[in-house]
Amino acid sequence: MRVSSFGYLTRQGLKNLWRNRMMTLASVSVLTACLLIVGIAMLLTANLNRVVEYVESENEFKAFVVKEDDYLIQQLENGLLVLDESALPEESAAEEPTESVTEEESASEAEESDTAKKDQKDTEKTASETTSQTEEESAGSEPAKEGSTVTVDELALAKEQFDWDGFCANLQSQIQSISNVEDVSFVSKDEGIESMKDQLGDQAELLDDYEGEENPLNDSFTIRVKDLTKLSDTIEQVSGLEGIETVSAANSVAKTLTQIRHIVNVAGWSLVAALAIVSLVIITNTIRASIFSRRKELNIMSYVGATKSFIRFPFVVEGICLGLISAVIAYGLITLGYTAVMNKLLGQQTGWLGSAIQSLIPYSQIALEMGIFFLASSVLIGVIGSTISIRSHIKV
Amino acid sequence: MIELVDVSLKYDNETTAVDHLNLKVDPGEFVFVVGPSGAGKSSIIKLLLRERIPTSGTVKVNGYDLKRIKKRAIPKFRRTLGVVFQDFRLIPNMTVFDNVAFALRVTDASAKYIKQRVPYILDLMGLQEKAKRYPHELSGGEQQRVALARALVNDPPMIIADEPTGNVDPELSYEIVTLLKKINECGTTVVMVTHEHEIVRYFGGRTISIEQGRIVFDGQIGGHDEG
Repeated sequence: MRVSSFGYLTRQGLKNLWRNRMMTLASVSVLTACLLIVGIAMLLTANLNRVVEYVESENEFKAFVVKEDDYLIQQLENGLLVLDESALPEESAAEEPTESVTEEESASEAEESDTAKKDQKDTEKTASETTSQTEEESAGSEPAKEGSTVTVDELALAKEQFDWDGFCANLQSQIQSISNVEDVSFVSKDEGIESMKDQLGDQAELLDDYEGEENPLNDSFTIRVKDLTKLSDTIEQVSGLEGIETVSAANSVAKTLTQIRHIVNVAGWSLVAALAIVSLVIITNTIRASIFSRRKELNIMSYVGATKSFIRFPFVVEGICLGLISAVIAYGLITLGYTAVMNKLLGQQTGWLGSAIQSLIPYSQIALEMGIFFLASSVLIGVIGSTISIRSHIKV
Repeated sequence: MIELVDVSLKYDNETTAVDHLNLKVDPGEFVFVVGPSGAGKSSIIKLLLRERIPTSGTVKVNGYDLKRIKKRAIPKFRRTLGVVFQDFRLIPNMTVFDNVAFALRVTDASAKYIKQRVPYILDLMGLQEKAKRYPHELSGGEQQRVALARALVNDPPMIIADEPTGNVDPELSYEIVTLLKKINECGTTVVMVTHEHEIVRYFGGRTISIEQGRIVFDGQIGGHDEG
């Protein structure tokens, strides 16, 4: 096709727009509205994703380990832990505790921890010896807990023989092996009370009584997850582990955000699909009207030997132009609207909302993407819409 | 050149519009096709323009076998024909110039050639003054001359005129046919369909009479200027 013909046909297409200006106006308004809705949905989704990403990046939850005493009592009651009662305290300390979970540890690790354990056990032993000796006569045969068959003696012996640290280390490696877990850190109950004291500051001494044996806290794990969307699954997995008492699923904000993001994504795409169909129908109709108003002309064109593409081209131009005009108007409105809203929001940076606003996407960051999307989608819909109309209404 | 061999055309409801028709028109001829309405004249035109495909037989126009021609080649074939209709078929919102230039633009002619060729043809048709007018501002005769200019602008080897005088005042009808005769004298084949026997008798020449889809007469009749 010659450049002059191209120019002529393009002008014909533009003339079509003017000739059917009422139709043009109507369809441009509808298309603009469609693009606006899609644009707003895009901006919402992008911002929501940004916020969710932010929450995700520092997403962690805590899992609390059962109290050592409670665990051991339960194990003894159920006969899962067999005490070597005949052994002398010295010997029993040197022996490996009869707990199956520790077997999973590698040999070198076991060896290393063995020596460490021995030291620890020795100190523990002397401590418990002194206390148990004084208490033996009075409370030796008393149950360690109300309604329990386990005696204080038995519990003390169990504490001596059971490798609690090894148990915790094993739990940690079990949590780490869950696929969605980014990392796990162990916070012992001593560290827990320390951090509480830090938080109390001047009144830290209030907690002095709760240190050591009197510590009411549990040992805990701080767990960071990779994918926030699978948070509830991960929480379930962690709480299912033996030895985990409770899990603090306090991150309901993240959960809600994730749900909202999911809904917005699904709704957004359905909206885009629905509006694409609406736009297609609008363009198809407008082009059809244009074809009907030029029916006579098209008939004459075919008699004087116009080729298919020559006859069709102006209508494709018309379709593209409808799309482009709408895209430009919608883009302008979105730009004005978004910047205005952002300026207004940035003006009132107070409280926690301030930091949320900080994480919103500035328009300059998303402008190019939006522009390209608007142009591409409108041109595409223009071409498809006019082609549909041409195919069904122009017979050459 | 036209060659119809044993051509029949039936419409859906078994009505036979053209019935085993044989016809040959040589290059440079001027032929009147006459007959009452419903005789099949329009059907023959439709066959010649390849608006319809014959039910049987072969139609050859300007070297194209219209039964075998590919859809893509139809525009190229139609450029070898200049067509004039009873209702002019001018585009109402285009000037006279644009209406004529239109037929050239369709053939992808250069802007320069269009600027040069269109005024020449308008001049030939005596329309040089009307180039910027719109069709509705012209008389029937003038409109038909614009249509004729459009048919001629591509310099086709054949002109097919379907009742070109039907919507034109009687005195102007002769003017139109005179123009067609002049065009024919320059070597262009002209086939003119009409039901106005007076015109045929006036101009004379080869005349084909059609009735009920068959040729009932094909021969020379003397015009006033020849006899």
